[in-house]
Amino acid sequence: MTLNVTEKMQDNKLVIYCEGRIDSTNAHIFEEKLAAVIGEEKNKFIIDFNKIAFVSSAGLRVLLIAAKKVKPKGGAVILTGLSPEVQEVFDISGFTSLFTIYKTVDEALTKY
Amino acid sequence: MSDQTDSLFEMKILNKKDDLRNLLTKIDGFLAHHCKNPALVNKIVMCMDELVTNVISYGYIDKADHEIEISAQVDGVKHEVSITIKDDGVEFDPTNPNKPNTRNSIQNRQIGGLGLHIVSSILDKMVYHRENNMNSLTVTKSLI
Repeated sequence: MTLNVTEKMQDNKLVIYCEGRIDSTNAHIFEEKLAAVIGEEKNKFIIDFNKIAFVSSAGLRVLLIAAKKVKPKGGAVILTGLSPEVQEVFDISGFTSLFTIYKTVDEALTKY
Repeated sequence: MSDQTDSLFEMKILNKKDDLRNLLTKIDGFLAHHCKNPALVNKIVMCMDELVTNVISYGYIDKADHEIEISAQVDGVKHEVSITIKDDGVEFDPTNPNKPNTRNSIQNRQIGGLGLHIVSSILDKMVYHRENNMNSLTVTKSLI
C-alpha cells in the first residue's frame, strides 16, 4: 500500500489529506510535504488521517518534528479522522496529549 | 524469494528498504488471507515494519548486504500467528527496550525511540534468543 498526500485550502485553512499507510518506507513523502508547508510559513494546518490504515513510529517522528517547528511560531498541527488503531498507537506513544484531535475535518474547520 | 503455503509464510530479504516494502506487501496478503479483521492485519504489518526497520537501521556495522529471514505460521487451533525474524546483525534483544518518556511536552519530547515501545504494547508475546551468531525473535499475536 502506498501513501498519497495532497493538500487543499478549505475555509482559508490548509488541510493535508493522507491516504494509505505511513510506514518507514514512505514516511519521507509525508516529511517532505510537511517541510514544504512549514517552509511556506504555514504554521497551522489540519492533517486528515481518515483514509490512513496505520501510522508507524516513522510517521510519529515526522509529526513530532513538525509540531516542534510550528509551536514556537504560535502554530499547531491539528489531526482528524484517526481510526481506533491509529488512536491506540497515539495513546501508547503519549501523542494524544500533544496534538489537538478532532473526529472530522469539518469539525476541525469549525473549531480552530 | 518467498514461499507461501496455506498456513506458512517464508521470505528472505536483503537489508534494503525496497526489500522491506516488498516484505510488508507480501505479509499483508498472507495475514489478510487468514484474518478477516483488516485493522488487526494492519497492526501486525506495522509491527513488522518496526521490527525489520530496526534490524536494517541499527543491526549492521558494515555496508554489506545481509539476509534477513522472516517466517510466519498461523495456528488455526489457537487462532494466532507467530512470526520469526532472523538476522546476522549485532546482538540485540528488542524485548527489553528502554522505555521512552511519553509524557513530556512537545518541545521536551525526544524524537525517536517509540517503535519498540509500540510493538511491545501491541503484540501478545515476544521471545528473543541468540544462536549461531544470529538474532532470532519470535512474536505472537492473536488473530481473534
